[in-house]
This record gives sequence, structure tokens and C-alpha cells, in this order.
Amino acid sequence: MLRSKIKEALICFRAGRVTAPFPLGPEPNPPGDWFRGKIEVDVEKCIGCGGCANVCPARLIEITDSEHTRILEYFLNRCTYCGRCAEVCPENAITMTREYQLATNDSKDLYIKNELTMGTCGRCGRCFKPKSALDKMMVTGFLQKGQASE
Amino acid sequence: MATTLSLAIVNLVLVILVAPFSEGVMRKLKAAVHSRKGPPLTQPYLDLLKLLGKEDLKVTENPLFSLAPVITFASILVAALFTPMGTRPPLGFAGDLIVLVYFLALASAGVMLGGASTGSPYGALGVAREMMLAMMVEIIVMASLIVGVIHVQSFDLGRLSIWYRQSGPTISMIIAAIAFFLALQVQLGKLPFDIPDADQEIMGGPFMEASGPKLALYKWSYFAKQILLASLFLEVFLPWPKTGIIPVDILINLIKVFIVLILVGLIDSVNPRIRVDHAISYFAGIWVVLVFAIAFALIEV
Amino acid sequence: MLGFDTVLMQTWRIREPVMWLFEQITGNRKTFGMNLIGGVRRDITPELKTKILEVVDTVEKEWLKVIDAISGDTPLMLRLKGVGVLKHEDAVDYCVTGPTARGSGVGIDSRVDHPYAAYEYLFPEKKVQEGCDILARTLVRLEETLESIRLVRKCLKQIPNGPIMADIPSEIPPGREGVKAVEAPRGESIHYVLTGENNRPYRWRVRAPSYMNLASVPVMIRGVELADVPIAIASYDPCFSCTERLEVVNFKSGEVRIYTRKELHELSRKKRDR
Repeated sequence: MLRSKIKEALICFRAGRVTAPFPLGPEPNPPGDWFRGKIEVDVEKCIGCGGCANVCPARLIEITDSEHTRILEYFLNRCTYCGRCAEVCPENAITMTREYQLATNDSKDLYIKNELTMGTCGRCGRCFKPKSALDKMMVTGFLQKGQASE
Repeated sequence: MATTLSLAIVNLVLVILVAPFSEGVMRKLKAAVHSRKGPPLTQPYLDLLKLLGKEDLKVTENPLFSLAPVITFASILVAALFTPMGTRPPLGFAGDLIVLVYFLALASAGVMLGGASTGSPYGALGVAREMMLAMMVEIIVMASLIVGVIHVQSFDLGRLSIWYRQSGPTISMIIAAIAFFLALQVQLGKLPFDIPDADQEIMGGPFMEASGPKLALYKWSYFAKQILLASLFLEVFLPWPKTGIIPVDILINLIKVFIVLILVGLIDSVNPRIRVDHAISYFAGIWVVLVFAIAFALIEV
Repeated sequence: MLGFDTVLMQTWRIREPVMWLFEQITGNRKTFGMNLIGGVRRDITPELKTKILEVVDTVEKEWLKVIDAISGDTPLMLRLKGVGVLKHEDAVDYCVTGPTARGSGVGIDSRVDHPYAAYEYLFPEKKVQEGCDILARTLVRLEETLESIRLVRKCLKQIPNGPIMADIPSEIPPGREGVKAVEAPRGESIHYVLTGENNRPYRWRVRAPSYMNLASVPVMIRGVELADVPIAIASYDPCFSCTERLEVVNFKSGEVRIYTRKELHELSRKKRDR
């Protein structure tokens, strides 16, 4: 029994100290390229197709349509960081950052709202997002500006 | 008179103020075995300060619930006045060995009273285990001290230590020293025998209902027991080197105490907890070995 | 449970490079999210392959050292041997699975009996012990770690080139059922899927292995000391959330009510919107 105790003690002492004083010190293993952290939505690229809302397993992307506007709301407090929205988005508007220290007591930090002005194609009737500001004004007139707020 | 008073103050200061530091050293050692950094060395002081400042909850109407931690701590303090920590004990007299062992047993009894007074089932379990262990271990402590007593023919601790310094190591005293060291693990509540105290199995045992100042007194008495029992062990079984100058002796004793406690801490880190019946049969085996030591002492070997 | 913190800390230290490796491969330490219908999401690059082999070598070396050190540990053996006994007949009667069954001499392993994924090319071995006590179950788990290391090496050597997603029709027909038994670390887990419209599952039910293993606990702890009960319960690795049934008992009126799926759904929606 004594020999096994000495072997155990040797394993422990040979390892040295393996804990890192994070966050007071440097990060011991920074996340790599494919790390799935908090998502970031690039509102310029988003075309309002709704593919992310269709595929999100936690069903936290909600889409509401009013007259010319499509509002996409991302409730990230229930996000599981699976990354399906980033994979499915045809324009690569959603990217997964490397942020993982997301604890907060203000739920507005984890809420993204994207308002898009969509026009309707005269010929086939499908919705589309106008590419430039001039085209947008042709769709809506001078009534409202399509913009995204975070 | 003046030396008695100053020795008493020195003993009490060691037991009250230096004891949490010894616990801090043991925690750092355990953390080193676990390959981590561990809490700072002054963490037990901060723990005790925090606990003393908390609300004093009264769980039952039983007055024993509030008295038990006081009994435990007070008996440890009184026992500290009878313990030699480098020089003679402050209140030493003929027969002080028995008084010392009785007050140490009274500390265990205080823990038992506190655990039983609340009526919680976990407390009752912890008290049962503490009683079983105390019955086995107090015999071992007393018997290993009696080995020395047989040689000297007196119950005076001071004379026991003086005789052992002059005569040098004997077989019976070495066997008794080993037995006392193994009993030290139980008295201090360290693995592999931390059965009654703070189990993951029975959620704290007798200490589960105590909170705030009561828990601080329980913890403090366990810290104080470390220095006390280690000093007793060293004075009776390993009294070298002794210079004769009192402050130097106290310092040397303190260094030896820390070495003994580091050894206890190492054994504590690499062992799992044993079940009560295994512990009882283990100590019954040690008792048999001690009988041999007593026999050797009787024939003056 | 045993108070043996040292072995816990050291094994977690050995496990940490494996968790870092998972993060490199899949993007997260525990919630991998790699499986899709028809394949996986990411491929293993050649640099990752060398890294995997390195980590696996280190883990195997240290793991063997730890096994060697604790196998001669007398207090540990005193606590584990002869404790929490589940006899062979009881194991068969109560239909336990996984290491709980394999530690009692019942040789069932879904990877070998009902092969799935690539297991028909890999031939994993069944690790069975006859001890029927906690020590046997622990030894089964220790040996399975080494077996997994062997499987990883074999896999990396034999894996062929090709696409990572199969060609599946974009419309999955609704109303179809699928059942499969897979081997989870705790035992045999059965998945049942009923497809619905719009490419979503209508019903997905998992029967977790802890549901079966929990029923064997009263047999294991009959007539033992109190100190053996926590380690007996921990030895079959309970996942109590897998045995979930929410029953609300009203003490005063004595009524028992089981919450339905719709009510639980409403409760969690209300909590989210708070």
C-alpha cells in the first residue's frame, strides 16, 4: 500500500501547478478558428430571407411583417450557440464571434433587432430587399427609411 | 509566578492565534497535491472573521445547542494550559497527564452534545460515528502515554519528558509513538479518518446545524487541537533538541510542530475516507500492538 | 463521495487536453453539435489529425500511470470491493445496461450487438467483469477508456476520403418512424423519431439508460451500511434529469398530479418572457 501511495504522490508533484489565474492572467487556451460564440448580424448583407429563423432549434429568431418592413428579432438569452443560422445564411450575414463571456444582468445586451425595408417585385410578386438607398426610396417613397438598430 | 503567567499567555497565544495559520499551511499543501494554487495562507483567519460576524441562528430551544461550542472551545483552551509546548506546562502538577487527556475527551464530548441537541438525523449519525471513533481512539492515546508513565512511575508530564531526554529512545516508546501518530489523524479530523466531521456522505454530521459564531468556535477548536496534540506528541515522544533557553525552545517546538502537521497533511491528501467499522477494526489491531509495547515497558526495555 | 479529492483532480487534469481538442474540432467543449441528418458539419484537417494522435498518446500514458497507482491502494479497495453487489440474475431481471450490466457479467454492448455508424468496420471489444460490485464497474470503465483510445487510432488510420454529407432528398416525408439503440457512456439509449411536416420532427423520444439503471438501486443497497449508499448510487453514474417525471404531490389534500407536455411548455415560456 505504501508503494501505491508514493506513486500517487509522485504523479501529483510531478505535474506541478496546472491552474491558470484567469481572468487575472492571460487566457491559457484561446479559442480557435471554429469556436462558436455569440452571433453577430451584419445588417447590410441581410436580405431578409428568414432562413435563420427556419433552422434555429431554440426558435429564438422571430420575424414580424408589417407594410413594407420585415423585423427580425434575435433573443440571444436562450441561444445554444449551435451555429446553424451562420451555416444556412446565403449571404454570410451571420457570423459567430469568439465572445463567450456573456453574463450580464441587462437582457438588452442579448437582443438584436433588424428592421428591413422590403419591396415587392412587380412581375412575380416575391419580396426582395432593395440594394441601394435610391432603390429603397423608389419602393417606399419618402415615408420611412429602412434601418437596423442593435 | 511570573514565568507561569507568561508561559500561560504564550500557550494561549499559540493555540488561539497561530492555529489558523497551521490550517492555512495544510490547505496550501493539499492544493499543491491537487496541482492547483490553493487559498492564501491567511484564509482561515478570514473564514473565522466572516463566521463570527454572521447572524447567530437558534435552531432548537435546547440550551445545549448554544452551550456545546463553548464547551468544546473552552476545554481546548484549558487543555492548552496543561500542554508543554517546548518547556514545562504552565499549570503542571503531579497527575496533569490525566487532566489533559480528560479535557481533550471533553472537547469530543462537546461536539457530540452539539450534534445530538438539534434532533436532526444527520446530526445523530455524526454523533454515533464520533462516539464510536472516540471510544477507540481515547484508549490508544491514553495507552501510549501510559507506556511512558510506566517507565517514569509518575503521571507528571514534565518528569516524563525529562526522563525520555536522558534515557534516549526505547523500543516500547517507539511503538507507542507510532500508535499515537496514527491516533493523531483521527483526533484532528483528517482523512482517512475524517468520518464524523464534514462528510460528503452525511452533509456535515454534527456541524450541519451550527452556523455563524457557533461554527466559528467549532472550527477554531479543531484548528487549536492541531497545535495542541502535535506539541503533546513531540514533547512526550520526540523531545530533542532542547537548549534550556525558554524562547528558543518554544521556537524550536513550533518548527517541529509544523513539520509534523505537514506530514499529517500529506497523509490526509492521498487517502480516501474509510468506513467506520473498518476504522474500528484497524484501531483494534493497533491496540493489540500497544499491548506489546506496554509489556516491553513493564520489563524496562 | 469517498473524499478522495486527489484522484478526482488528477484525472480531470489528464482530461483537460481532450476538452481543448474537442474545442478545436467542433467549436465547443461539451455541446458538439456536429451531427446533421445525413452527415456531419465539419471535417478533420491533417493538422488536427496529428494533434489528435499526440493528445491520445499523452492521455494513454498518464492514464496507465494512474491505474497502476490506485490499484494497490488498500483503503480504496476496502471501500469498493464487495460493496453494492448486483448479482448476475438481478442484473438480467432488472434489464440494466452499460457498465452496470457489464460489471455483473452481462455482456451487452450496443456497438457490437446493433452496429451503427462506422462500428461494423471497427470491431470494438466488449469489456466484461465478473465481480458484480463497485470495483468491477469501475474497472469496466477504466478499460473502456483504453479501448476507446485504440478505436480512435484505428479510425484515424482507416478513414477513407470522401464527402462529409450524404445526398438526401430535400423533402423528408411526414409520418415516418425511426427507432435505433445507440451506446451512450451510461448504457444503451434508444431514440424514437416520428417525422412531421415542414421537415421538422413531430415527436422525438429518448429512453435514457439511467431510467433502467435506477431501478436496480434498491437491490444494490439492501442491508448495507449507510456509508456505502452514496457510493453505490454514484457507481452506476446516475443522470437524474434523464429519469424525469414531474409529479406534484399536495400534502394537505393528498392529490398527485403529473404535468403534461403542454403545461411544462407554457411554464417555461412564461419564465422566459419575465
